[in-house]
Amino acid sequence: MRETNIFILIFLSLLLLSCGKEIPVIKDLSKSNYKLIDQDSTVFNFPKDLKGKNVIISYLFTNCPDICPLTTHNIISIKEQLDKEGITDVEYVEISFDPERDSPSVLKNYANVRGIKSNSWHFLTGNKKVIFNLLNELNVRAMPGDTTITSKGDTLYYFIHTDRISLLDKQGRLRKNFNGSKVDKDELISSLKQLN
Amino acid sequence: MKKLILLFFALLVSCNSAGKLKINDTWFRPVIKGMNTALYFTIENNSDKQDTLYAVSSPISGMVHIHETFVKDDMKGMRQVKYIVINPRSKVEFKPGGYHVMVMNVKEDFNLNSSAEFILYFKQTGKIKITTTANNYERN
Repeated sequence: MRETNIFILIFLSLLLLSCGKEIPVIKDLSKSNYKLIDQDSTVFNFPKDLKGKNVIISYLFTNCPDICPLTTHNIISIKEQLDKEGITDVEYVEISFDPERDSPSVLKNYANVRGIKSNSWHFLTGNKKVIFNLLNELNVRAMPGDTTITSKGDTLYYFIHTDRISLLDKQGRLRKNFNGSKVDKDELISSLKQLN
Repeated sequence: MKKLILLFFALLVSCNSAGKLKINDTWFRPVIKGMNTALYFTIENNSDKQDTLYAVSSPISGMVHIHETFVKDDMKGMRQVKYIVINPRSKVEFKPGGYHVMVMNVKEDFNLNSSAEFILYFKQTGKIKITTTANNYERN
């Protein structure tokens, strides 16, 4: 009986400790400034234009047929759940690691065909060097494979890339990373709430 | 009665088969002209013989490949697969994050619920034609 009580006491103490546990800062990007372009061809200063909002970030190339759209749809589901709970002070960012092909209009088409019309959703492209400096700071890697031109003149290329969703806080600090295509949506939402 | 007839036709559309090989749960992602999409389905082999899917074609694209997603050094990529073996009395799923048919440089827009035709080529069974719709099933 006494052993059981001790066990319950330890369990409750651990529970209390974990409740108060802060999500550590992985990287502070608040002093960084990356001039990018969004899907409406408007200049977007990352992360300055997001300050004061928690941000869900993902990474894509629009010609990716499987992993990237899967991640986008995971974020659509997360946004739907957050909207349902009345949590609307969140910005959604998708950064293209294929800026040479992913022009603003291509990104806009990618958004439209998936019914993404929210003003809080920013698809970002821009200068390749700037993009890759930002990705480097976020510890996201993307490497293009060899490009093949087929006999019919079609271009065939792939990327091998980090499959990730990142969480940035209101101060522009990277706080947590998740698997993009297999994200635990409840865990991400719970982490986001902890940032508030 | 009307409902029964509708249900019958719905089942006919959603389940394409040739003998004991069935293609179920077919769908592809909505896509804009000139971009790539992925086709997904389940192959169910109810026979006692092995079969092999070795190609897929479609009038909506000049280039269609069977692909798989792979993980390397904590990164993900995709690569072409020459064929998929479907063992007797077994199923093979083509699903997001796994096997998929990559349909490249599509000839027109395919918005939600628009349909397209695909032909699956099997060594034993031959051709199976499927008609399926653009959808976002991973959101369900």
